[in-house]
Amino acid sequence: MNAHDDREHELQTLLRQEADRVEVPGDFAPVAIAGRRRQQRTRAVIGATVAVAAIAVAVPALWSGRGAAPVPAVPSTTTSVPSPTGTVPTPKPTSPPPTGGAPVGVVATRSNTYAVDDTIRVGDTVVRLEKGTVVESFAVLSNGGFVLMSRLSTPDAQTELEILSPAGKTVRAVRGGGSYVVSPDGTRVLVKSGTSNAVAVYAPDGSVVAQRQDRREPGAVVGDVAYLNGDESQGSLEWNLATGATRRLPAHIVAVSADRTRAAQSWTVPTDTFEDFCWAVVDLTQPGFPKKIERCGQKGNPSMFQPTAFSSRGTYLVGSHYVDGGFWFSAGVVRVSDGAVVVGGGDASRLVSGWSWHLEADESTFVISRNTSTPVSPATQNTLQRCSLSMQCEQTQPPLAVKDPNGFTEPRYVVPR
Amino acid sequence: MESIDREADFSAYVRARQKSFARFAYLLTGDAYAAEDLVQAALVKAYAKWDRISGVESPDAYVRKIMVNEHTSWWRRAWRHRERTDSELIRVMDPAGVDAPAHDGELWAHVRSLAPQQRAAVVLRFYEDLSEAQTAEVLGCSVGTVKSHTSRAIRSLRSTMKEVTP
Repeated sequence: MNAHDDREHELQTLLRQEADRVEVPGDFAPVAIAGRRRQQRTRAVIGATVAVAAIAVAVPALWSGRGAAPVPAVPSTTTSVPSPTGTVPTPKPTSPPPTGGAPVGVVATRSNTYAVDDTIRVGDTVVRLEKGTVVESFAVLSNGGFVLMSRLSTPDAQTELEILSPAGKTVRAVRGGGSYVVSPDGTRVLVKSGTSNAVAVYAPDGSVVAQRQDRREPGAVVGDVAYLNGDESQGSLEWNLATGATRRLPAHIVAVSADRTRAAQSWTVPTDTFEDFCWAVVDLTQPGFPKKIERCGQKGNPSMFQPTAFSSRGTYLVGSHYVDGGFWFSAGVVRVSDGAVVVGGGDASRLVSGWSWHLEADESTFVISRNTSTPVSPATQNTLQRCSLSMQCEQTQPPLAVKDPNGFTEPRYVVPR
Repeated sequence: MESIDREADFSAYVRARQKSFARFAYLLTGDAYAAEDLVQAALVKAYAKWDRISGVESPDAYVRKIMVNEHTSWWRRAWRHRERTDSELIRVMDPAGVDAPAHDGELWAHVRSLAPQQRAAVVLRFYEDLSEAQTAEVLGCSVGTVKSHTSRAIRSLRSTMKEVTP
């Protein structure tokens, strides 16, 4: 045995000795499965669409459109909002939690609504959810109601997906949870069941607008057209809800502009590197759907941006830059015209860490449930902020300590999609 | 694969292989916390692609490849956050080998100081006993690069050991 072999043998022995010191008393399987689910939820949460311009008159119009009388306003469902001061705010309703009445005096919009713990705050109004509810994501609908993805804080609680009235009453529950997107005007909710291939579109009152069986995932819904996101083998699908007509589109469509002329794609390149993220924008008005811009891989997309929505006028794509893990995300905005990163990306100094956010209709400010911990990991503090794209931020709600059930950090504030 | 079957299949696989992955991760990272993060991150990714991975001949090779790439990508990034705030999944016992050579600590420190790709090549070749071709496959590089990585690592270890062992 020569010196080189000796060294190899010694190295081999050393590595085995070191490896033998490692024991695994825990179980990685449930942690990995939970981690993947959280990634999916986080990814779902970061979707942002055009601000819902909910107006009061929309409420009776929608209710009467369903053939029912408008829900009478019940003042007992409301209370003023205590300002959180580092602990869970404890609203004291003047009567039992809402059971069908609508909050008085204020209609929820994306701009005036956020969730904290098991409540949804609409301006000065509190909509109380079932005690112990953990809001994973929610969106505001055109009637001032909500789409709510949530679970109870018990260890084995299942995620549920519901459509709620403005007062917090469930008007539609989707079995087995699932995934959803909401149209820019808040009049349509596209849902894929978590336990089957049932895809459905609902109105804010919970009524079914259209449904089909499809393996694809919700991509976008704009007006009466839904877009289902499929892989290379299936392609994506454009689905006219009024006529039932369908048209096959390129794979991986995750967002569609409000004028329905452009679609954003997001995919990973199946190479050895595993983490080459790509995004592109295709023209839906041209035959063959030509790409207007594409950014891919370590050179083209170094921050690993993943779009989830167009901004209101289609100037930007909003989404996230890649973060390993997924218990908080890195907010990202890129300009569609040239792919320039406007928010986030790059090194740690540009990191915008948080859990949920949306870009406002003005395309210049965003609201974020932000991770304001120093250092950012492990996360300890959660604050609601409003920021400009140049990262001038103001605190709109005070910092709260994050929850840390079972070692996983969870935010206190949730911003509507 | 139905969701419940998929979950059960994945869980059974992980439970059978997690010690091996944890040890591999520890050799790559040299740190129990980082190893735990690495295994978690890799398994989250593996679960996301489980339908594909479970169908291949060697899921282990696939998971190892994810771990190597993930670890390399950590080095490329300016920051990283911990998956969990507690750590109960991996435990590194105190060195039990009283007969271990006195220079082990030095040698281990040197292995830990190797660049990620070089260290991965060493671990795959000399711990996992992979061939140069198999190592190249996992690292996504040529056999020549693997040879270069390992011989350079051995050379540098030799020079280090000369300083330690008279």
